Amino acid sequence: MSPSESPPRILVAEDSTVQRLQIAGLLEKHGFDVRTATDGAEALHIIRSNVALPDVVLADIGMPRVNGISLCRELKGEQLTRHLPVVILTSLADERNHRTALDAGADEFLIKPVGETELIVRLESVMRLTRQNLHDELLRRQELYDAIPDAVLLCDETGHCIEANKAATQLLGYSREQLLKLDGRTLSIDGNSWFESRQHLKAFHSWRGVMQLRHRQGAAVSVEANAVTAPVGGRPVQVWVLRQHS
Amino acid sequence: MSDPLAASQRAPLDQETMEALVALNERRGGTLLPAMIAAFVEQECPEALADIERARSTANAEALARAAHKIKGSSAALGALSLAELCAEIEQRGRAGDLPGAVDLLDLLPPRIQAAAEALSVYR
Repeated sequence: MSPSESPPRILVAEDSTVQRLQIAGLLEKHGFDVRTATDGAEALHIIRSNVALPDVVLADIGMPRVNGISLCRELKGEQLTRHLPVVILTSLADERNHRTALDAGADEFLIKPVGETELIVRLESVMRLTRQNLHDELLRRQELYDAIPDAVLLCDETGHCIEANKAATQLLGYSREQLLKLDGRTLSIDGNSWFESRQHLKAFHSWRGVMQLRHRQGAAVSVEANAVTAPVGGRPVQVWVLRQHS
Repeated sequence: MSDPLAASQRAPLDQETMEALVALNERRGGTLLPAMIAAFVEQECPEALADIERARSTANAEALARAAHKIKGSSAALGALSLAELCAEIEQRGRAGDLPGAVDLLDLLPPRIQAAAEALSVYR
């Protein structure tokens, strides 16, 4: 890890105090920002109530209340946490559970006792792979957006642009990076119709109409807008499809 | 695995593990190892021994294996390898449904825990 990077966040779920302390000590020595949970239920509570997700979860297979397998299954079943890599700690005697761990979506399993080097190398490898997969997925998604001939803008609940495709950049004259710094309201010439469409979207989850937007160079652009609200990653996102109105 | 019955002839703690733990302990301001030992001696071993006693009295081989498994992981983490090996053997016999075989080893458990606890007390 270079000094400029923030430390990787890890959540360790282990019911044995002795082993939890040892693992946390080793991980902190290697620069991890460690949070611990005494079982899977506490781990789920921490993840669900915390805005900043960990970069990786390390969970013992056998824990009371919610065990490592169930924890993994829960995380992989939720939109918000399905990308979160989960490493299951198991033992040779649990061989029959190795397959179960992988079936539950575990990204890796480690057999106890785990050597220090192996623990760190395998965790870093899992995190690297997850980052690469996410990067590839984002690239694929961007290519798909850019293939759509109509302009597409995604806005969060506050109206802030969180995604824009190539047609949107051509329609409005901004680069994608510039659009992602803007608020939908800034793009609208008529603040009232923007406000009304947003109110309608909140109430009915869809809106269709003609709007006047402002091109980067100042000219008015009349567009037919078709907008819906859809849940993305557990949060409502406004999807705006814009077509130039002749 | 070496013979868990003969393992009592060995030192109760693995030197290499202890050196690594001592180094880690120093990095953590000397609080890590005492906390691990306290949890092991005062919490995990008594709890597991109580679970083992319950499992023996109810003739539950699977519960016996689970209780032995608990001590196994923590004793290995603390370098008490001969204790870990004994627990591994009890666990294995329990999982195989060999209750009499597992019970045969149980008398070895308290003295092996005691030896590990005494050896660990130096590091508290």
